[in-house]
Amino acid sequence: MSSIEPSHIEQLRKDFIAESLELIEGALACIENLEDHPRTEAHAEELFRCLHSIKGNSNLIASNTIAAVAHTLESLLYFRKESSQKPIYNTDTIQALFKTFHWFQDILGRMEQMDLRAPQLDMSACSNAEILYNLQEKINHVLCHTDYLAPSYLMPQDQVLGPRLAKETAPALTSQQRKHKDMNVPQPDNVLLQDKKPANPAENNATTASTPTPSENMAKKEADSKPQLAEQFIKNAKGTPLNSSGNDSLRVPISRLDTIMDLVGELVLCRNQILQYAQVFGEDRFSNVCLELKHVSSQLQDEMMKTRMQPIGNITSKFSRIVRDLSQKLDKKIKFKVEGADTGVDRTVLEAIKDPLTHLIRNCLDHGIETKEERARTSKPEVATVMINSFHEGGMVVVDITDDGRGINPEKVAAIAIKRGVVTQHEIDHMSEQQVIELIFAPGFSTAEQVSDLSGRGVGMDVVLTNIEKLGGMVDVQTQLGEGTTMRLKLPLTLAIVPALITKSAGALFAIPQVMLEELVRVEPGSQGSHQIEYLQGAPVIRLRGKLLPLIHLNQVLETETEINLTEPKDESINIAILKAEDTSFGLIVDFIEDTTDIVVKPMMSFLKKTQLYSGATILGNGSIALTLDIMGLATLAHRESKNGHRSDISGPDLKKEDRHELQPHQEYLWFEIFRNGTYALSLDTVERLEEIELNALSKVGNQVNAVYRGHVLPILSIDEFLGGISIVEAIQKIEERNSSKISIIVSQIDQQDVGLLVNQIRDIISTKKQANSHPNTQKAILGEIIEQEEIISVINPEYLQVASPQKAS
Amino acid sequence: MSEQKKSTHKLTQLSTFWVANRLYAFDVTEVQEVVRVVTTTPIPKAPCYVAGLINLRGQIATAIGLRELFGLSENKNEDPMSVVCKIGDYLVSFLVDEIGDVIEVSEDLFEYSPPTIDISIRQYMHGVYKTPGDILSVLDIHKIFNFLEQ
Repeated sequence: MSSIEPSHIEQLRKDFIAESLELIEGALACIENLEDHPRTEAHAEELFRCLHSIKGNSNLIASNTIAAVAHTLESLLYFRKESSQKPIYNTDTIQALFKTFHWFQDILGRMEQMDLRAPQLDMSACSNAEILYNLQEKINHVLCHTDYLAPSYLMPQDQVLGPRLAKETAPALTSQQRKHKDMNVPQPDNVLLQDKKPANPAENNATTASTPTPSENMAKKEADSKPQLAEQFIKNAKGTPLNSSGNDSLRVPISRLDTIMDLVGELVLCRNQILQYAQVFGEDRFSNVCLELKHVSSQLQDEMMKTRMQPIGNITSKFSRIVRDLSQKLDKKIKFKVEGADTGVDRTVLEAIKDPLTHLIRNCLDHGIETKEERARTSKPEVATVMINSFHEGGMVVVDITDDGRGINPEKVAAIAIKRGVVTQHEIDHMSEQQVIELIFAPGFSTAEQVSDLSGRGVGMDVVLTNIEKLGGMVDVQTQLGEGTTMRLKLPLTLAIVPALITKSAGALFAIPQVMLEELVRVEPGSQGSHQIEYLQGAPVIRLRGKLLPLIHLNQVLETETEINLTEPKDESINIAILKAEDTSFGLIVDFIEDTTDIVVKPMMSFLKKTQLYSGATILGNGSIALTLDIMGLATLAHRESKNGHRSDISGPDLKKEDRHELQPHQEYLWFEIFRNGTYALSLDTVERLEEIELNALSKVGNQVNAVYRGHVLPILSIDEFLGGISIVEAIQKIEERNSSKISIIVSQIDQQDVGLLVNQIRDIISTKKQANSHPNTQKAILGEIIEQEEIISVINPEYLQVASPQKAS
Repeated sequence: MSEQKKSTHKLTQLSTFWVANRLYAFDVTEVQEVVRVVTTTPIPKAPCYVAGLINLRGQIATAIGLRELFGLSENKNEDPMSVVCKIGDYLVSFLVDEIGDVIEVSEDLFEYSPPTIDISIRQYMHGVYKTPGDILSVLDIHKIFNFLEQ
C-alpha cells in the first residue's frame, strides 16, 4: 500500500510538460508548413504523429482534457482528410489548429506553474480539477465554435462531450487519482472513464490503439468507411515518434552538463600546467604526448560548448505565435519568416535574449509595420514581412530582425527626442542622421504617437539596449524611410566564458570584463599637457580627446595605499583602463596590465559582493585566482567618494558627476569673455540682469569703481580680478583705450547686495545638459568646464564670488 | 551494559580540530575534506576573518580564519590547515591550527552551550559534548554561514 513518491510524480509531470511542449512546437511547425503548402502529405502525417503522441502522453499523466481534445482533433482531421473534396488545410482549419495547439501550450504552461509538492495542490485533488474547470469552457468553446466541426453529423457527439466533461471529469479524476495511488502506477484514465461514459471519444484510443474497442461514435463512423486505414494510421502515429526520440537524442539535466563543463575547464587548466612542465623538461616524446593532450582537450572543450548550445530556433519559432496574435489584434497582415533557426547559441544567452527579442518583435509589429491602408497607399504588398535571420559571424551570434515597414523617420525621432527632453535642438543640429535614429535607444524615449497596450510606454528600446549590452552584446539599427528597418543584435556565443583583461594592483590579480573596457591608456613619465594626470579639487582626471575623464586609483579604493600623489613625477608609466559602466565612463589606474584571456567567472559568497568591489572570482590558466572587478560598483563607489570628499566645499547647485545625465535638467549658462584668455560662463541662476553702462557714468574712488544704477550705488568688480587677473581700474583703462563708450556688466547679487561684474564681451546664453567637467585647475573659482561649439568654457563658481566679495577690494 | 547503552543512543561522528589551543568540532557529515593550505589569494577590503580565496582543484573556496572570527588571538598561524565544508552552493574553507581525530560520541553526552560562554563564540556553537578527556565545542556551520551572509 505504498503510495507513489511525490518526487516521482513531480518528475513525471515535468517530463510530460517538457515533452509535450516539444511535440507542440513540432506540430506548430507542421501547421505553419501546411499553411504554405496545404497539400504536402509529409507535414500532415507529422502533424498526426505529434498530435497522437500528445494524446498518448496526456492519457498517461491523466490529463484527460488534453487527451480528449487531442483525440477529437485527431479524429476530425483524419475524417476530413478521408472525406474531403477540397483542401483540408484551408485558412480556417489552420487557424483552428493554431488556436488549439496554442491552447495546449497554455494548459501546459498552467500545469508547469503549479507546485505539486505542496499538499493542498496535490495533483489528484484540486489542481488538476481547477485546470479542468478552466479547460471546460475552452473545450466547449473549441468544440462548439471552431469551424472544423462543421460536418453536422459530428455535432451531437461533441456537444455531448463538452458538458459531460465539465460535470464529471473533475470529481472523477479525484477518485481516479486515489486509485492511482493505491495501484502505485499512474494509470490511464480509461479505467474509470470507460464505465462512466463509454461514449466519450476521448479516453480510449491512446493506450489501446490496436484493439477495436476505441471505436466510439466517431471512430465507428470512421471505421465503417475505412477501418484498415484508420488502424494503419494509428499504428504509424504511435510507433514512429517514440522510436525516433529514443534513438537519436537523450534528455540530460542541465546541471550535469554544467558539471561536465566545469570539469572540462579543470582538465584544460591541468593540461596547461603539464604543457609548462613539458617546456621545462624538453623531452621529445613527452612533449609529443602533451601536444596530443592539448589537441584532444581543446576538441573536448569545443564539443562540450556545442553540447550546451541550443538552436536559436527554440525561441524564434515561439515568436510566430506572438506575430500571429498581434497581427490579428492590430489588423495587419504579416508574414513571419525565420531563417537560420539552427544557429547554435548557449542556453544562457538564449534565455537572456528572449525578452529583448520579444520586445523588438512587438515594436516591429506595432510601430514598424504600417496599417493596411497605409500600405495600400504606398503600393506596398498587402502582406508585410517580418523576418528573423540568425547566423554566426566573427565568434558572435548575429540576430537580424527585419521588417519591410515604414522605417524610422529621423525627423520624427528628433522632434520627439526634443519634446521628451532627451536632447536639445542644438544637439540635434550637430548629429548625423544615424545618430538621431539611435536616439530611440535613449532612456525616456518613445516614438509611439499613440501609446498602445503593446508598446510605446517609453521604457522600450533603452531597456533592450541595456539588457543586450549587459550580456556583452550590441544593438545596431539600420533603416530606410519607407523601405523598412533592420535591428541587428550581436551576441556572444556563451556567457560562461568571458573575455577579460587581467590586471595587477598591489600584487593581486584583478580581471576586468572586456565588455566594460573601452580602451587602455598609458601615461608615460614626464609627458606634458593633455596626456597627463591632472588634479581638480584633489580628484585626479585625465584629458582624453578633449573630454575630461575622472580617474579612480584601484590601490586607493582597495586601501592598499593610503596616500597617492600622482602629480609628483614618477619613474614608471601609469596604466589606465578606460571603463564604461552603463552611462558612466571613468579611468581605472592599475599597476600592471597583464594579459587578456578567457575566464570562467565563478560565483562569490554574497557577503563578499557587498563590498561592491568584486563580482566574482576566476581561476587563471596557471591556477592562481583573480578577482573580477565589479565595475558598476566601483563607479558608484568613486562617485560617492567624490561627493563626500573633494566636492563638499563647492555646493554648486548643478555640479554633479557626469553620470545620471538623463536625470538632470538642462542647465543654462551665460557665456562671456573677460580680459584674460579663454571664455567663461556663469550659471544663469546667479545672473540678475545684463546691463550696459556709459563709461562717463562711472565714478572711480581709489581702486574702486562705482556706477549709479537705478538710484543706487552699484559697485563694479572685475571678474579678472577674482581670477587673479587685472584689477577693475586696469580693466576700465583697457576699455577706454579702445574708445568704447560703454561697458558690459553682469548684475549679480553678492552678500545680498547687487554688484556689477565687468566683462569684456557677452557671447551668448547656452543651454546644455553637459555638466561642467572637472577641470584640472586648482583654483576654486572655476567649477569646471563645458565644451560648447568646439570651445572650452570655464564655469565660474558663484560661491567663490561670495567668498571673495567686494569687501576684499575695500 | 555499555553495548546496550550505545544502541539506545544515537552516535554522532565529529571531526575535531584545534584553534588557539582550544578543541572544536564539526559534524563529520558537514566536512567535505581537510587539506593543507598552499596559497590563499587575499581579498582587499573584505572583513578581517576572510583570509582569502583558495583554489581547490578548480573550485573556489572562501577561506575563513576561525581565530579571527572568534576573536581569539592576534597571532596569525603561518601554516594553517583547512577544513572544507560545502554550504549551499559555496565552498567554505575554515582555517584551523591543527586537525584532531574523528571521534564518535553518544548523543547522551550532548548539552547545549552553557550561557556563560562568551557570545562571540557561543553564537556559532551547536552545543558541547562531554567526552571523558575533553569538553568538545561543536560548531554549527550554518550559524557561521548565516553570520557571514547576514
